[in-house]
Amino acid sequence: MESDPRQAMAVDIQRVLIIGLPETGKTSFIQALDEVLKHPASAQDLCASGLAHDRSYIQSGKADFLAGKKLGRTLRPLENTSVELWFEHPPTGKRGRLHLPDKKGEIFRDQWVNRQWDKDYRLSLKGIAGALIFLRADEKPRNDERLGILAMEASKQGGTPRPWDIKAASAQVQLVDVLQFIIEYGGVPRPLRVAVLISAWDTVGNEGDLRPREPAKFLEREWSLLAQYVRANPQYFNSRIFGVSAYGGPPDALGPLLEQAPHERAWLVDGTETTRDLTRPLRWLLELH
Amino acid sequence: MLRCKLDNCPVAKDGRCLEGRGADCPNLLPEADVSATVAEAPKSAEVRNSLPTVLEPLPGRAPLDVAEARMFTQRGPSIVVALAGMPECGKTSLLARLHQMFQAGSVAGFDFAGSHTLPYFEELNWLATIESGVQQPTMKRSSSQFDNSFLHIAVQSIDNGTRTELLLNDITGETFEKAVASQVECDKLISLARADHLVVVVDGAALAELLLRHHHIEQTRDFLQRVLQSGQCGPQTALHILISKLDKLHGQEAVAVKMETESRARFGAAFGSINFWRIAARPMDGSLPTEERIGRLFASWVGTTHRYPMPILPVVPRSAWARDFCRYGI
Repeated sequence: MESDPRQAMAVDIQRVLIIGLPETGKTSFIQALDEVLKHPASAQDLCASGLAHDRSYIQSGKADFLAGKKLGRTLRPLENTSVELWFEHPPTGKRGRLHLPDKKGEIFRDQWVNRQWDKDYRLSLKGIAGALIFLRADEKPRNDERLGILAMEASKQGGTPRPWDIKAASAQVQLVDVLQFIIEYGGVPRPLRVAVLISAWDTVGNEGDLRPREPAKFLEREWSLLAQYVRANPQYFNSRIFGVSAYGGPPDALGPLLEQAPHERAWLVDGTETTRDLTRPLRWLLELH
Repeated sequence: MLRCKLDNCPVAKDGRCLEGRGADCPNLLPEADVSATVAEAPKSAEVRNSLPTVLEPLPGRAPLDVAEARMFTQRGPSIVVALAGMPECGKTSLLARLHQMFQAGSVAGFDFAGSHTLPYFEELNWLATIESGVQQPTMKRSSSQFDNSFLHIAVQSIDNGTRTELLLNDITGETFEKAVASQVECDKLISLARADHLVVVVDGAALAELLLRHHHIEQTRDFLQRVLQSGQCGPQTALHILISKLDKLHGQEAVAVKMETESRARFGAAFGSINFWRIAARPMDGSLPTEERIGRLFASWVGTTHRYPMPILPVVPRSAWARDFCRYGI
């Protein structure tokens, strides 16, 4: 006999925090995950067990996502942006509700800039089961220096520099600091299971691209400060690294890929393995094997 | 709200003690005095109610003051490094270079394990980035406000998993000159008494200039004499004489050798150890920074202190650890 999902959610609420600076692919992943949960690739995969009561946030961007269009940036005044996905784990029979508070990138950037956070947000961290950390494969992890030839060429010219703006700090530095806040002041379980999701993974491995094609090696080379920080604090973090392409290709330019359904386009890289199963990071976070 | 007896102390503006003493500073006015001198209008109930959320402060906006730094020294193995030298000698470039090196990878066998002063590190480096729009890389000038403040980096040894907290004290060039001129000024540098390492940076470009070199060498010598005389440094301190801007020293290496030889003869026995370095943290001649040497310098800070015996940990490779978080391989 089928049990009522509303009863299940009362006993097994799993909350996962999403962390990431603005425009790092968080919302796209949520949309893609929603599609994958509705269309699981295999009997072992997490699947949807119904529709959450409030799907207004997911619905607001659904049409664009399904059409392969780039999603608009999450608007800050829209506070009710938490996302619930009801899931079922067929191998264990476990049902529950996955709560993805779409903590917008601006919130994390504000923590870096203003050095303060909302008390309610801090309190909400205490019960999380894990965290998804988003960064983009096509984003610059640190500011470029004028070194070597660049320093020589530059010294021959003149110009007015922009004044220091803390928002312009290196992305990986900002992200590390946000993680420090969460792990040191958030009261989260330690070690916290964190899945680092490198979005826009479809931009990796093109001709002439020398960056590693394994997500963990990519992180180590390109976002080294973050990789070191997580590795050097095993008492704080238990981590795993994934590459993800929520659209399956570049949004607004999917071309023939649009023939495929969104859940068939999305893919994920785990080590050297490529899979359509976007739920894998969540299963790892929640220890659903 | 905090207030200070000293007119030029910014504590009322940003909470930073001019002398870096935090809540222990004797110049702080007690609360009663504050209320007597500052008639601050109470916030109306309406204003308070309109606040949407309760915001809690997070640390790290500025370098650590002495009280904050003390918390890190109490956590576990910690090393204090004081950097001093004439104005624009390259101290800040060295600190900024270390920050950049960790952004690119592990440094000399150490992983970055955290920092509570990341915004300030980024600010130091801003005027050397392309993003700043600067045409000629330069460095933010240090403020004497932070003479008794610390930048913080925690590192973990890749070999044995030991975590070390590093506290880096950047003494401004102006203060360096004042300290040479006056014992009173030198005594205000309270971090020196706790420093495991004193790094005196000598401007390689100045050494190459006939009109500048004698002044810079003399100032360096007098500063070392001053800190020894005061007892702030001594056998408990590892001394590093570091010639910066190596790219501008070319052709004048003999001057550097002479200065190093004389310094060893004069100060070698007075400090716990004496080390000499020549680096280029931000060369302007088209060459790249001497990162390997800077890495070795960094490793010597982490691995050496004359203040207490360094614990000898078994070297168990990370790959052999039975658990991720056990450095003993248990």
